[in-house]
Amino acid sequence: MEREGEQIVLNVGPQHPSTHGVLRLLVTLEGEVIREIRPDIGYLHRASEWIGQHRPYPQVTPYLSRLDYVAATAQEFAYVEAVERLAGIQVPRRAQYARVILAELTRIASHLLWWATFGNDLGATTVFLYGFRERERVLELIEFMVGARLTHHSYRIGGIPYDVPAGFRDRTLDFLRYLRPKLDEYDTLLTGNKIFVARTQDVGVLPPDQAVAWAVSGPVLRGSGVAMDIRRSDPYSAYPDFEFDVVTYDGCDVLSRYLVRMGEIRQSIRIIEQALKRLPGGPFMAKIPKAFRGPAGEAYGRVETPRGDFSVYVVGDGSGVPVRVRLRSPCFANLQALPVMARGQKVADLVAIIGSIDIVLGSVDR
Amino acid sequence: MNEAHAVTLGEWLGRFGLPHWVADLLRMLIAGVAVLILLLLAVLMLVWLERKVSADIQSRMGPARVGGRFGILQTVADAIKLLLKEDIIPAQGDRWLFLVAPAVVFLPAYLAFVTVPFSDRLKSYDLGVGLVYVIAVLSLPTIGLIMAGWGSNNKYSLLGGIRAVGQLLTYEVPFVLSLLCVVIAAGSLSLTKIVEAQSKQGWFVLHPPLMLAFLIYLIGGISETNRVPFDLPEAESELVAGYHVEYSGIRFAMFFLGEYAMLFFVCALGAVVFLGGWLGPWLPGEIWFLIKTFALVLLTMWVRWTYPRLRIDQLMNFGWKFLLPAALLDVFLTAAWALR
Amino acid sequence: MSAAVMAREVWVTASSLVKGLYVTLTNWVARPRITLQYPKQRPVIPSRFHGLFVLRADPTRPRGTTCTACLLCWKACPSDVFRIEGTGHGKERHPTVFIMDLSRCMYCHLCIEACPFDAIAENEECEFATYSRDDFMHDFDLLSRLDRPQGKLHKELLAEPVETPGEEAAE
Repeated sequence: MEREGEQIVLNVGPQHPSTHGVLRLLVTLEGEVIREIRPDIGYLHRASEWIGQHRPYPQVTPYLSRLDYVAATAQEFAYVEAVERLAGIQVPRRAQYARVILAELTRIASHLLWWATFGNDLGATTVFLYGFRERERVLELIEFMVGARLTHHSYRIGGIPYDVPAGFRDRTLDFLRYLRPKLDEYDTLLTGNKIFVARTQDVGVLPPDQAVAWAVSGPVLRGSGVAMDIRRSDPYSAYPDFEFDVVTYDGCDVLSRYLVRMGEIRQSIRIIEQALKRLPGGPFMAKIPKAFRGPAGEAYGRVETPRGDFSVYVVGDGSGVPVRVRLRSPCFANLQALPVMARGQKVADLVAIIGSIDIVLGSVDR
Repeated sequence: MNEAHAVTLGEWLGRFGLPHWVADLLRMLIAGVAVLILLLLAVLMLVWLERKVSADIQSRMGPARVGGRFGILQTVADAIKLLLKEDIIPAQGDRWLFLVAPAVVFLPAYLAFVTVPFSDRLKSYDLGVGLVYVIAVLSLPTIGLIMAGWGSNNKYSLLGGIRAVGQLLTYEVPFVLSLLCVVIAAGSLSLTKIVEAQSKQGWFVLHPPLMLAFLIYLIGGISETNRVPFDLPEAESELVAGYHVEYSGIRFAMFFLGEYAMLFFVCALGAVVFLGGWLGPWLPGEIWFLIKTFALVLLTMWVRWTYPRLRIDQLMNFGWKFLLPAALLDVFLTAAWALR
Repeated sequence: MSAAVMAREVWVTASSLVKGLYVTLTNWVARPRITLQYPKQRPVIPSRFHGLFVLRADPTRPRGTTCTACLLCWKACPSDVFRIEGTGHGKERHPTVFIMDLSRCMYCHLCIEACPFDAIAENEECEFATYSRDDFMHDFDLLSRLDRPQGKLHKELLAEPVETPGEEAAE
């Protein structure tokens, strides 16, 4: 269905089942082929950076959970890393291990949610329910440890608010034992399915040089063959203690990114098991003054979230309130690569491509 | 309706001294209304069944409150709710097309269903050219889809309607060819005679060349009814409900009804021409017919909740380049088998 | 494409589709239903849950509450939830007005960690949908009601048993 010059502009969103939030895309179509995409964002902007610059340091942390609300710990991790670097705070080993466990549990939860919505976008509704069924168990674990499921405020400057509760190790290991065979089952259900492969192979290609040029990070980058993971290249917290693989695939298409994320779930399981086996004793919170006043200076905290490189740049001036809190969001950068991936593809692939980038609008708009 | 009863119904009506044509008219009316009621009840039941089956596959419970522990009256409650909704008609759309489309989607399923025999005693009308009539009527719902797509004045609906046309054209031909295999094996177009042929030759699905025909029939049938993996015209997550996105209330319910009526009909037809219709030991023929129909319905639901959907070009690719040659090959194979 | 390659393609496709059907079948017949029939069945709420707030009672103190209106919770709150006015000096200090605007609260737990007297606690209540916005303004009387679940004090939560160090933990 290609007639020269017969272009229509399709407005996808902001209310749409597949845009993972309030994202508006202006898609110029010629028949079923996409000629141009313009994302229109800002529907979820909540002035998080401004808030960060008008609250004392400890009060900024809960707001950061709400950025990428699917993987809430990751943003807090970056912020507390930045502030601790700024103030030179040494976080106890036990707290670091607990933070890593929470971060990896959140990674599993986030990838499960991504998998669920991705399958749903492609028409396999059952996948949605299965993904959430497993994610529910992760959220229960997090609730057991921290007290909340989605936006948990589980990190404090200097450590974690409560120690790891008794019984947490057994419950988590039970869950991981339950999850491993489930992942194989899901590989049979979706990954091996020929229809799925036909929908995702050679779709939404992002060559590695383009990926690097657009500052793409996370599974999108590793799906294009660039083996870069901040936990390995710029390690933070307790990650140097753990053995895990950086999952990379060369296909540069939607299927590669899918496989990267499925591989990452398995690597997260490995990390959590190692962390639980080696959990040290000791305090869970460093000794910091109750009214925390950061010193003057600047620091950069960088973290590998399930979506990519989330970084926080904090500038302090010695008062209790940061002068500048700059939030670098992975979804924002990854979304900019969408037109590159989608030009020349069909509109039915658009949904698969957006799903493979895995954006959360809270992180894009902050 | 019932052959024996039709005679008595006609006789009974004839006792009133009514002119012949009036008795005939009344007889047709009663039979028609009875089948319509049966179809509607079946559709209501199918909607409930779909929800329960999908829930079971997804580790949930499905309807469990309305009408007892199994939520049997859930569909009725939903229908009442839909009736009470505001009727929105797009101002800029083509009003006549918009209003008539749901009927065009629902009625062909009913029209075709009238010719399906439930048992050797219970059938409303046995057409000599049954299968040809059925196939002709089955192409009509797609026209309803295009009418809805255009009349809604909505790009998403239009895309849905266009996809529906392409899909229908692609899968109609292998579908018909698979039915042609059945005709070759049975030697007749009449549905009743096809079942009678199966009583002598055994169920057609057990004949080797017809196994492939059965598979093609199922694939074609799932495509005709616009179900996953062929549900692009109404792809929920892509086109936000596609061709029926602008419909609300009872008009939307009619589309729903039409889809499930088509599904029930396709499964009933499959049960009749491949699985032996009313044939089976011990139980009365009507019960066997229902069992076989529902077995196929469950199969289609199982398929729906397992697979992602195909993209339109992949769908057409598969239909033209794979299914059609397979169907043609199968016709030859069936003819060779029948001549042995 | 040669016939052998095509045949193999067909076989791989068909078997992958059948295997997918098998996965859904196992879930259909062999897995339990995980639905909680709310409201007859309720979820289990852990002790650290961030629920609704209570002001702890102390019958020996003025107005029967532990709270001394020291305003540390108000200072710690990022969302401007508290409106507190107090009266009295030293040990007799107590709040006259104590209103929490729960429509602003984000349940971040900072107020509870800030309170030096453990006067405020979070309980396990999570069902508080109402029909009017005014119902979200929890005032002193509602917060200190004794018939509500009293939750656990912050120091009680800190004293709960903790996970032992792992068997391979380095010392």
